[in-house]
Amino acid sequence: MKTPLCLTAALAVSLLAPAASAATRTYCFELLLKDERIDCPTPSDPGAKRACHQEFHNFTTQPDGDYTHPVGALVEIWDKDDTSDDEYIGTWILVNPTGGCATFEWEGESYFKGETHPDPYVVWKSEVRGTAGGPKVVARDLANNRYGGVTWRPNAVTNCQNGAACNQPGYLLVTTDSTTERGGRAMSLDSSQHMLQAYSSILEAEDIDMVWPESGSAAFNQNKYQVSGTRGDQAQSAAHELGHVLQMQQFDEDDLSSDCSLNGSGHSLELTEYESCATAEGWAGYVAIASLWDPENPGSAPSRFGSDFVEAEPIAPVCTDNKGLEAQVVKAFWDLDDSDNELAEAPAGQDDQKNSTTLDIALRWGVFPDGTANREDRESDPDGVNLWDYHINSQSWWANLDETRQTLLGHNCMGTQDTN
Amino acid sequence: MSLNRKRVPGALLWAVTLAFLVPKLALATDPTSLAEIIDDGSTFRFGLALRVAPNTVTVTTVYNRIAGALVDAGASMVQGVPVVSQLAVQTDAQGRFWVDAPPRPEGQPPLPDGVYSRWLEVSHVPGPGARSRAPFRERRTLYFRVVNGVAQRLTLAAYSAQVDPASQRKNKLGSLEPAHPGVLAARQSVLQTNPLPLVESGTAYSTPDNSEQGQ
Ligand SMILES: [Zn+2]
Repeated sequence: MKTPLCLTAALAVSLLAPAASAATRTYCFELLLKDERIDCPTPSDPGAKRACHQEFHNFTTQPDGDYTHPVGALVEIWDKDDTSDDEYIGTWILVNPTGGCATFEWEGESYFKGETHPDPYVVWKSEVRGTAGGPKVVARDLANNRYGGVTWRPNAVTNCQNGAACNQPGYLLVTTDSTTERGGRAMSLDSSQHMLQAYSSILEAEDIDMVWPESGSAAFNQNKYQVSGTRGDQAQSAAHELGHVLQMQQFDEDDLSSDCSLNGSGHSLELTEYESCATAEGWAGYVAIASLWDPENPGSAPSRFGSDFVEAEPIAPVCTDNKGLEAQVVKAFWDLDDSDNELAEAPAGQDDQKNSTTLDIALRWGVFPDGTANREDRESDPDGVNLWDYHINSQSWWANLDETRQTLLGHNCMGTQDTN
Repeated sequence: MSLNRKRVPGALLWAVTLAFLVPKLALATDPTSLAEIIDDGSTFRFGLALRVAPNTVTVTTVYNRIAGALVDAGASMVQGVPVVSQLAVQTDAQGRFWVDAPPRPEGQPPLPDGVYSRWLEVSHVPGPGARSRAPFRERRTLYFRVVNGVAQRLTLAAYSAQVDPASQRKNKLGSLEPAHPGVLAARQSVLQTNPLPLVESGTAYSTPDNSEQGQ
């Protein structure tokens, strides 16, 4: 009795299956965006993790200039149909700073619909992710709506067959004008991707919204930041705000107790602020440079707005004058991370000895207890959350506490911060 | 409505109270530059808030788009318009710095009609003996339109709407979303064919309603 049933089932399946046997299609393409960023390492700068201005292109019908592959960008592939609806085939992530190929099943899939061969085309989404996984950064407009994408529907490759190369002719240019809304969005997303690439494994899984183009760059909470419409070409701006997002996630708080009111509103890398401001802002500045430059490369020379972050000499000639300087905090975290261990330079008295890892340094914020008292994550004192709190809260974690203290505090004159 | 009217003063009072109770929660923002460019959004005169010595900065303008056409990197002249110009840093009676960045310098013929975008760049090179200083650039993009030879500033939004309008397409959920048309450029090197990881299969989304519009 069993055998006839099986035979019947097999016969039914074979009758229902499409005439062609299931096979894959492979569609290859290459995307580029116009890159005019000004505070990001280029291919000739030592230690660039993934350089801006990746390639110069001398195009015949498009503007010549520097272009960059949008690594970590999410792209959809669609099947173009002239007489019926287009079909969504799937989403892929660009993982190489070159072209790449998406392979998908065709016959028998729900998007197949009996069409002999697909006519694939690419849609660049306004979304990026670390290539190994983690949360996406999703671009949103000023009304908080998701941005759409960029579509090459008119350039669809016709009849992509199994076993043949379905190569998209030419380069797909996401943008050719870096000064439009779209141009700044593409650069800001790519700058954000640098941060995700470095930190994705310790970020929360939930997507992070990037509002663009805003009146200023700022971080709102654990899942939202904005980029100034005048700073789409500053790679460190988006990456800096994500540094705030990361710290809020480690604290599990939707704000930071950072008081930047000492020197009027706003803050600057080398103007004295309360220690909570210097610490929170210096942290975000360090995250930005660790996203763009490799701390393990002794040639890395990050800087911003004229502040040299690898110079061993403290910024202010009097040690205690450095404790409220955001740029000096950037340098302190960088020294903890980098492999280039320098000797002490006056007025600091201790050497940079520590070479920790970028992720380990970030995870230390996670040990702060919730609350507004000393050593807690929302300590209310304007000099509240500072490098002493960071150091003391995490001291049991460090393999060599003296090295850590001397690098973070002594070498950078940060020991002069309030010990509470 | 009456309920809403009654509730508003209470909500306001509560908001004011909260503002006093939570004084230190300013937004975590980006640092200001040592060479801020101050743009009133309507004229071609720009203030410079310099915290570096004025003799260590040079100010340049570079056209990115001239009369509607994008400028090739390295081009020196497009439609008779010089792409790069130097600007002199000036000082007013109060000692504040500023630059004039007229669309076309005095005595020159008017610009061709069309849409323009241009960078205003301040470059700082530290003087000898400067402590822990690196060179940097500060940049502002200005947008304008020339009609009958008269230039008028545009916002980023107005510029983008003119030169890069979005259309609409149906997304995988069948709803309309904005989309920009991509551009194709001739290939100059061999296409690399490394496999890309699949993030999401479209199988679950493929419904008869998925159509594209506005292409
Ligand atoms: Zn900040």
